[in-house]
Amino acid sequence: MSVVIREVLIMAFTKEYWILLVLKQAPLDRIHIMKALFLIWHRSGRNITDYFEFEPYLYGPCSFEVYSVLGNLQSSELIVQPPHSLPKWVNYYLTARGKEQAEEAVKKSLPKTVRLIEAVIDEISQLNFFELLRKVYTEAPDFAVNSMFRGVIK
Amino acid sequence: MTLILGIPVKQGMVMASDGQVTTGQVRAQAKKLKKLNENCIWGAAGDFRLFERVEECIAAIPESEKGEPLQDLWTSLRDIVLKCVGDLVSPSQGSEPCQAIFVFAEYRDNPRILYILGNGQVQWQANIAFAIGNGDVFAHALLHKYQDLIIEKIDSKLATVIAYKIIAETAEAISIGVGPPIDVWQLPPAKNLSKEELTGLEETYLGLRKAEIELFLKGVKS
Repeated sequence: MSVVIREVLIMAFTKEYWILLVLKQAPLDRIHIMKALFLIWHRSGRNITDYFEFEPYLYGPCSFEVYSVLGNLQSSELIVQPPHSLPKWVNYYLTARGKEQAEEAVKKSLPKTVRLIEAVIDEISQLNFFELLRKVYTEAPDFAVNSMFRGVIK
Repeated sequence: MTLILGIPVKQGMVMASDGQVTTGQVRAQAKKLKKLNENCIWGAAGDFRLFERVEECIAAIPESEKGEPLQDLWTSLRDIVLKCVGDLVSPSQGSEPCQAIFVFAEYRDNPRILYILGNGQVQWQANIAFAIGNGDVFAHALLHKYQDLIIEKIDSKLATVIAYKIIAETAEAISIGVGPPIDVWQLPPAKNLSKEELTGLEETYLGLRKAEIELFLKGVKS
């Protein structure tokens, strides 16, 4: 499903707000957050002011800034990630303060913006790694050009 | 304890290390790779006190001299290592000389790797991926399958993925001495990957792990 509502996404949002809005819909790990933020941008005509800048990376679209913003949100105790000893994908969750901030972000958003985010999260939150990449690469093949996983997910 | 590895690539070199320091029963985190100049990164496996002392001495080398090729610098570096080993030996207590191996990886016109042992012994290599330190046997085994691809088919970006993957897998496999955070450098020019770039490599590594299992299972089913 592709929802293009370019005009409603022009409003200036902090990058932290975008991640809070995404996590308000469902707890997600880093790879799902990254691809959700990309699809939001892609489906809004690739035109959102002061948004994350994506590049075709080794696993498809990537904005390294997403990682630093996630770090900021963790430091601010707006999101948490359960401790894990081995490297693996682990979901981020909103804290109580994070939920309050996410509600604030919703109030500042236009309903169409919230609906777009809901639609994207609804579509991807239950997808596994390969299903997720397949969806993103199909929608935005120009961002799959450097991916190491193109052969595996065909 | 430490794991350091280096992968020569087309027009450059990638070096990576784990980030765990063990002192007695205490674990801490530290950066184990250092920049000598824009063309050379160095690190060491062994006694961390010795590494720190050598680092101080290298920092005291005048900048103009530090930028010289390894072929011109190696005697100074060897002398620093020998002096620092001597400083840490306490004859009155009859302590053993520090055990360590220092590795300097350089890329100018070609890759060049210099090893200096704690006893002053020196060895040179070129065009060969290497691993030193705790877990080097695991790392060599994991590196082996890429050996035929080095140098021609592996670029700097791919080498960062391989280096990250090998250190992460070794750290998971062995019980002590090697652990996060993983550090990765590229050269030339010497560039230490940012925290965000390293997170990107971790994501790629996690994806590759999944892909390997997926391919295996597909093969088993077919």
